[in-house]
Amino acid sequence: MRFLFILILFFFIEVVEANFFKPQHYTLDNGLEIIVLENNRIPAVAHSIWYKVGSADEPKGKSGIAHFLEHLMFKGTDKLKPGEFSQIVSRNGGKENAFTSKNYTGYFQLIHKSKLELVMSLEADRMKNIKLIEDEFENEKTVVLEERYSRIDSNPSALLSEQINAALYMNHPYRKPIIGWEHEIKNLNLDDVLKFYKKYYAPNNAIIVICGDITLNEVIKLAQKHFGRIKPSKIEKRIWTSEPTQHAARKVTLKSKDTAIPVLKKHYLVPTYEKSKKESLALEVFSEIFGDPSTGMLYEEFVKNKKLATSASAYYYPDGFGDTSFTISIIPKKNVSLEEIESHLNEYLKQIKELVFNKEEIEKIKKRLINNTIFAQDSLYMGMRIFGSSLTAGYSLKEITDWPENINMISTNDLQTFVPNIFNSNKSVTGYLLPIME
Amino acid sequence: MKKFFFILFFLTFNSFTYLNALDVKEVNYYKNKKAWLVNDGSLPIVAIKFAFKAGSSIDVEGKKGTANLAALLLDEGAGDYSAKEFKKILADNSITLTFTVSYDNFYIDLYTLKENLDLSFQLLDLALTKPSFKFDEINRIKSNIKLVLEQSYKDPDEIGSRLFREILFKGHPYQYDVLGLPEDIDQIDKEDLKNFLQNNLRTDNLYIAASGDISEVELKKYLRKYLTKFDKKNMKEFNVPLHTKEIQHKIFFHQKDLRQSKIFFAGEGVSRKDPYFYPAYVMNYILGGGGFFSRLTTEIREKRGLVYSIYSYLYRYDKYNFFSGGAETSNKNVDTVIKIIKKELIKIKKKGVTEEELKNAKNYLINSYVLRLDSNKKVASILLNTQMDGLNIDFFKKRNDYINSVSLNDIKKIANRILDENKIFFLIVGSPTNLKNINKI
Repeated sequence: MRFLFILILFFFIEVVEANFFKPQHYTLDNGLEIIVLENNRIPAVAHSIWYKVGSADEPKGKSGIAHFLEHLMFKGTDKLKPGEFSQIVSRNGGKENAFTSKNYTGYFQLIHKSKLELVMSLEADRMKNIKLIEDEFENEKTVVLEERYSRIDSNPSALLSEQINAALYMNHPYRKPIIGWEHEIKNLNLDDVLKFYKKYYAPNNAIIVICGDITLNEVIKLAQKHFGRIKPSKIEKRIWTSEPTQHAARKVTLKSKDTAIPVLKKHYLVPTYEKSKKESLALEVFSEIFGDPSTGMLYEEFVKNKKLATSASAYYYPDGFGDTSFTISIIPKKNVSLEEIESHLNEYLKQIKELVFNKEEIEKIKKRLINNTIFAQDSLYMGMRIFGSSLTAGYSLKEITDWPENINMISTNDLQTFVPNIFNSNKSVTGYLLPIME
Repeated sequence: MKKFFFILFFLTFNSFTYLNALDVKEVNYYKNKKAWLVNDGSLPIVAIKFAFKAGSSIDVEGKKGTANLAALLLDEGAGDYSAKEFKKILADNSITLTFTVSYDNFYIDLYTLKENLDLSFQLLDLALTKPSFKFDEINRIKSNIKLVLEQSYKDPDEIGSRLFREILFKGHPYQYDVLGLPEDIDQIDKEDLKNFLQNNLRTDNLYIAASGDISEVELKKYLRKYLTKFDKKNMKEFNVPLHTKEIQHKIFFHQKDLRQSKIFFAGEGVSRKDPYFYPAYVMNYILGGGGFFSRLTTEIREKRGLVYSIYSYLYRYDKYNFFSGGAETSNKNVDTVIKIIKKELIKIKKKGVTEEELKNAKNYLINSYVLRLDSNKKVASILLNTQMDGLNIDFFKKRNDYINSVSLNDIKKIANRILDENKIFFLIVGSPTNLKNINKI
């Protein structure tokens, strides 16, 4: 009883704080954007640069080029030998990495604040001056192929996702795997990569995001000094092919001898935040109440009530341009077939379309989501990652900082309006992962 | 100009030293029991980690998997709350409360907003003292665990780790998966789970670390109220034996039709109390620990493009220490990769490392330490691990000196001891070509 009291008390006195990171913003004359998130906990910075180019921007037949280029960015410039970039960062006590997605390519270093100028000068250098030789290029190609074999080809679940994506997006470039198709990686040449680099790596196609113990003014000075002289390029607006009306449910089945656990995946094509803002926010709220792996409705239905599954969850990824995926994953209990799971899922989703949402429940779910923004501030890395990935995938700065308020505005009516649109089987792919007995 | 640089260097050096001296308080909450705390109010968040010295290695014969099963069931209903209600209260109040088991320890992780700290402790208390252990939930979690164990006979990574354990730990409780044995899991009943908690969750084997918006007084108040009840007298001691495996050179091979082979290797390790612990730590960073330019990565990935990743690591368990590493490579490369790994081990053993390498390694290991302290969760982890390593809070002031004092000669000595090619085994899972002198398993 006492719990209940505490719960209610917090529920009423809590006001939603839109206090999400307080980013500061500046744009250099050459178009380079700068975002600073001050955090004075330790005398360090998470420094990152995000290029608005990802696998979805690749030319036809050249899949994998964005990710390959990310590898080559460590292979030397006019001033640095191959690998020297990483050695300098490490010698100065820094950690670093890079990531390529469908929408962006990002590079970051976590380092003492006194070394910020050093890493900014290194990033400025490799924005325009990478130098590649044929030997290094061919060597790195085998590294990328080994990466593909490790991450995708040896992993049945990743391989299934790759097949599902290629079926879910019939025309949108999201259908390609980020790492690239094996045969296309093998055929990439040095010229392809350099052309891509010259076209997209420019100050007016990049955002610097720094989270840490530093002020905007200090960053602007350093950015002027190191990036200020780099000339902007002509960057065309990103226009990607979009999805036509989809008329038929699709199904893919992957049989593997390397797994004992069958899995059912169901992907629905739904809009990104960029395409349909309010709808996307409603889907974020819905995916939490419906798909949370330990408290969601799907878990309750499949794991607890019907006792058909060992796990059941759903996830919605709002970032990107055009369409994205609402994904359901269910692992059946032993001796329950994927067909049984699928047929019950179809029945259950019909009920969900008719569902009347409870206002009090929705308020609690919204509060959960908003609380996550407080936890997200508990590391330098998270803030940097959230702002970088959102700004390069459909969100304005204001839309990121207003996110808690915008989530809070979502009503049961909004859910009533948008949720039934999700589960349209003509826009779906069902994926089966099935073990083969040896 | 020179003077300017000197000042700059001096300032920087000072600030690094200062940083490493984390402001850790010891909070004496009960008798001689102390928790470690870093009080930081910059966010309204608290992270607390608890560890009881009671992991899967104390599971008795015939009931392997008891510790893990008990841990997984603690949030599946407690007190008057059903599993559903318990999880919902946690989620609706943004409280993360997890129970996990390793070979040596039973961990509790609490991560919450400060405003929910009271509620968090009440829920933790219920989970530890009044878990429901409902028949339905026990059976459900058991079948989940058995399914995961089945995977260890099919999934290449899992097959690899299972065989690795069987080779390295044969005859010791570490040879079993933390999850236990499928046939044993069926034998574990509610009484076993209750007994596990009753016998093993006790203050004399408890470690606590906290970080975030919580004062010494507050922490003490909560710990006194909720943890002192675990003071239990005259309990039976579990003596997990030391493992004394002498590793011999062998290449173990398990045939599996795969695109890439998985390579594992292991040799003798170093204990935390060993005078050569820091030399070993620095040496491993140079050999296979650090980033893109460890010797193994340089030779195998950067120069030859044979792998995406290759690493080595010094593992420390309570009853055994070992050095181990791994890589994945196309089947045709396996022989070459093994040869280069061996060559690099022998090279360090015979010639040690260069002055330049040692300097760079020290710079990294000293100056990057602060980067581990950027979140409450990470700070709490570091406090817990340092404490469990038997170190004092002055460790954070001394760590730089420990690393700085490592000499080229120290590294040569430790390399000579642990990088002995006659005492390293390899395990290959896959379909390598050209591999000779192998032991099929």
